[in-house]
Amino acid sequence: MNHDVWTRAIVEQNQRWLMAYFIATTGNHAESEDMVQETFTQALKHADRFDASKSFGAWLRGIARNVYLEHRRKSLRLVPLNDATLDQLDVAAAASEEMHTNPGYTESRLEALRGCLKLLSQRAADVIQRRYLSEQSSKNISAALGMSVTAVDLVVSRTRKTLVECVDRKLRSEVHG
Amino acid sequence: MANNNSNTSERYNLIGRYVGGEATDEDLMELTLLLESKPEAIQEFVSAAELERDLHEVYKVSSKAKSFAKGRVPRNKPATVIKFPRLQQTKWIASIAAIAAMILLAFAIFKTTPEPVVIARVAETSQGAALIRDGNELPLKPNAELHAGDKIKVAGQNTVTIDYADHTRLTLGSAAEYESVAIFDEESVQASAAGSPNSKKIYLESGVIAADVAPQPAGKPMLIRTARATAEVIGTQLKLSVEKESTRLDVIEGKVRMQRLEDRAVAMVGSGEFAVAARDTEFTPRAILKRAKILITCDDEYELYLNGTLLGKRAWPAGTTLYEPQTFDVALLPGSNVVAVKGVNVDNVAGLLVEIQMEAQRIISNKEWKTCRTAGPNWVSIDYDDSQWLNAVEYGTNSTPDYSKHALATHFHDVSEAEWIWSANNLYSKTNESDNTMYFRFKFLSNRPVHHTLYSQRNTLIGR
Repeated sequence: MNHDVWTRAIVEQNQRWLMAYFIATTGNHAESEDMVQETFTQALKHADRFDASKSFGAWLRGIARNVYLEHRRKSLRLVPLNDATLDQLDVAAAASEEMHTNPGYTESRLEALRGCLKLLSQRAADVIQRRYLSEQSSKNISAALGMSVTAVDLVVSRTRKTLVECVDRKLRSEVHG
Repeated sequence: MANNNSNTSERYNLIGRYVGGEATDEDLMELTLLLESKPEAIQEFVSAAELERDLHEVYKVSSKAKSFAKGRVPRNKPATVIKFPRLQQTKWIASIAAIAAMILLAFAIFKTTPEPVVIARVAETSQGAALIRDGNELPLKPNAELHAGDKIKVAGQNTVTIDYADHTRLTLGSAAEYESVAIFDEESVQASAAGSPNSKKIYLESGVIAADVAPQPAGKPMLIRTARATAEVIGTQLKLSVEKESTRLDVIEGKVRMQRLEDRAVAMVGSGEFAVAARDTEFTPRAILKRAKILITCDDEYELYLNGTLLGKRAWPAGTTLYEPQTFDVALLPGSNVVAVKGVNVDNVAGLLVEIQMEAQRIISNKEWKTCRTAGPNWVSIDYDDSQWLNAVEYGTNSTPDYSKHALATHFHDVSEAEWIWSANNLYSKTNESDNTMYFRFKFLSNRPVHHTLYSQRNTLIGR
């Protein structure tokens, strides 16, 4: 396997759970993308420090934590996560990493989400699409749909909760029938 | 309770706003307090973060590229958060620009690729089968070409047959009620596009695939993956079924390397064997034992053997239930089996009537059965050489009016195509050179070629 293929495989296997880890820690999708990239850059740069007898995922999570801590040092707008919380996030990331080793897991999740999006009310679907597809601000959405900004935010919040529950239900029914 | 629910909702909304990049200063303060008082809320953080990631993926938003295109920093990036020096910010935007340009270039190259590579073609398809390409669901038609990433969906009881150029044939679908869904792997197609004879790759999401795989190039086995296991196929006939919590591989012929993904355990599954990859079950190949039901009756006496073992016999006179068929539930061997019958006629006409009912095929008595007036000591075994025996003679089915004058097996199901058989002379004779006692043999495979057997309508088989 050549170096590029190896790198791509590493990235593909790990980017999704890393992404969730950083979104949870920073609350910022765009910054999380940068931080995932930074994690891989650090991992490749220090690949010689990796102990092959240990878990690669655990090593990567260690790097990710440092990337987060470094980011936190510079950032003011972050929830200050303590060590215990970071440890818990570490455990969650390890579980997510394991789930992602199942081929088809990503696709099932996305498929479940697509299915759940179809079940949304017209208004909720419209708001979510404007938020995620056209990246409109709450203010713009409120102007376009004749709603108050508070109402838009409320729809987004409630729809997120609905979607998390729906995806969870779909994935569980896939497993347990 | 209502208060609890509203608290939960409010907490969730708060976490949602945070991972969605919409948290206010008050929200941040509240979250800090929340994490200190309720560490269990961390799981909600994780769920919310996963949703945020997936929503972006579903809508394929690269917020950075988009924001750059719009000439502003990303909406989600709070302007006060990271104090990039002016120069650094310019550099940052420039590097994003470079990445965006590369993405656009790659996209343009991809889009101008003249023809997608055809990996296989649809040979036969049932109504209602669908092809999902680039997120669009289309009806699947015969001769349709399959490309990278194509997904085929077929409803229960229907099938789709797919042919590769090397004569490998796949049948997707099952007799069960659930849907079968397979995705043709993108990677293999990318490699084919580069001219390399790469492995065939299929991801089976659900349902059943039967494959008759032509010998594959060395080091390039065909890979069929499921959520639980990977099967590496060099050239064989097999069936792979995905259940909710397990994947079962049945190998009809050849050898398949199966890997359980959970613990990377490997099983080499050979001809006539199966293995099941599931949590907490033994992952070793076992013989496929096929259940079957044998119905038999004889005018007049018989002894019935399966693979050398006596199953039962009946002597004349049998009383009022004369010619009533007897039924035997048996387990067949994987591959070759032999049924052997000694039939004795004690009066008038002679005849033997047999039907073997399997999950997906029936064996009936007919002129393909071998018969002989004398048999060697080992005549009931599979290996016995019956090449010098004659073919049996057919005297009509059980529902043929002429034959039924002589012998009618009541309760032998009416529409059976099984023939009453004997030698050319089926009349009782008192001479020593009679055909009053005849030996019969019929060899059969419990696993006929997969594409003929797997998808019969199971429900119609027994008691049709």
